[in-house]
Amino acid sequence: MPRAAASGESPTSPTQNRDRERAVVFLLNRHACAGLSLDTRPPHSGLKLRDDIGMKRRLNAFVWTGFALTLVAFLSYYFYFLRFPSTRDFPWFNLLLFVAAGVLLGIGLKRAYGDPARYRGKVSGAILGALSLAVFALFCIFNFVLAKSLPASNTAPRTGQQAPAFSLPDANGKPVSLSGMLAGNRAVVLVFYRGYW
Amino acid sequence: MRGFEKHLAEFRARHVEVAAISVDSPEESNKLRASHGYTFTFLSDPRAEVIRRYGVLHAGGGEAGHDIARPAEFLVDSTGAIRWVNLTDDLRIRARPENVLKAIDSLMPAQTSAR
Repeated sequence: MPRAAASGESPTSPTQNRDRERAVVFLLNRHACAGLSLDTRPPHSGLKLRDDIGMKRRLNAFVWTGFALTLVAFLSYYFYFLRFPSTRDFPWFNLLLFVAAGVLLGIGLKRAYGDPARYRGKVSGAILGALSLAVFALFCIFNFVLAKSLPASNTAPRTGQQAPAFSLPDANGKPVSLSGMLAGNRAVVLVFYRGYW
Repeated sequence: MRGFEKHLAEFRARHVEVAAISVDSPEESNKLRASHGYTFTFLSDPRAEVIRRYGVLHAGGGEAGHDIARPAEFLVDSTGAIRWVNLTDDLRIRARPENVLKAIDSLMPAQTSAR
């Protein structure tokens, strides 16, 4: 430092020299502080600096929320919305949830790839996005393809024909016949269902 | 099924019985009735004989290729004649009890005066 002052082209007074020296030391100190934060930007904004020390790159919450919502959209249909005919026959509410999840994932991915310096999620976003897409595909296959793969029932008796007589055990093992159920009743509704085996 | 239970009083008021049929054993049906609070009749057809007779067999439709019933609803009147049939083409879409009640009311109007 003294050498720098001494090699000055113009002759300077001792006080001027001292002032310059202080200024240089001050600047160097500030750079040293900034160096601790591994920040290469000039340390003009103290606020920004503290921000960067506290959290490196922000967690990309949209990506994770989007993936979580995808799982909710899938599972809530089977555990909840299947109970109500209005949300079961056409799963409109669950499809809406899938759309919302897609929007969140879209925003998250845009952040991750558009501003990778500030947001994380380039890798996790890609993986979660692909997983979400797979879950959505599964939902569509279950509900719009497999659900419709029922055999045609060409041999089923039609209206006007006699219903085939039968006798079957009820839940207590007691035999119940169609004619028995019809006796004393105006009609019987037979509900065939897949069962739980 | 849940819907039929909810509307059971309306079926009973019309003197209409509801019976569910599947390949489930009586024990399995009992579990289902207990867990879901179903009070109408459940019938067991483990060998799918009646299911076959009604033409609603879903061959290999169950786990491990089990033969099971496809969802279907039949309305049988007191003479044993079939008055109304619903054969869905989608597992999820079953007859709504409200529609079955409507069918009952329009196809076989109650003769309350006669009773």
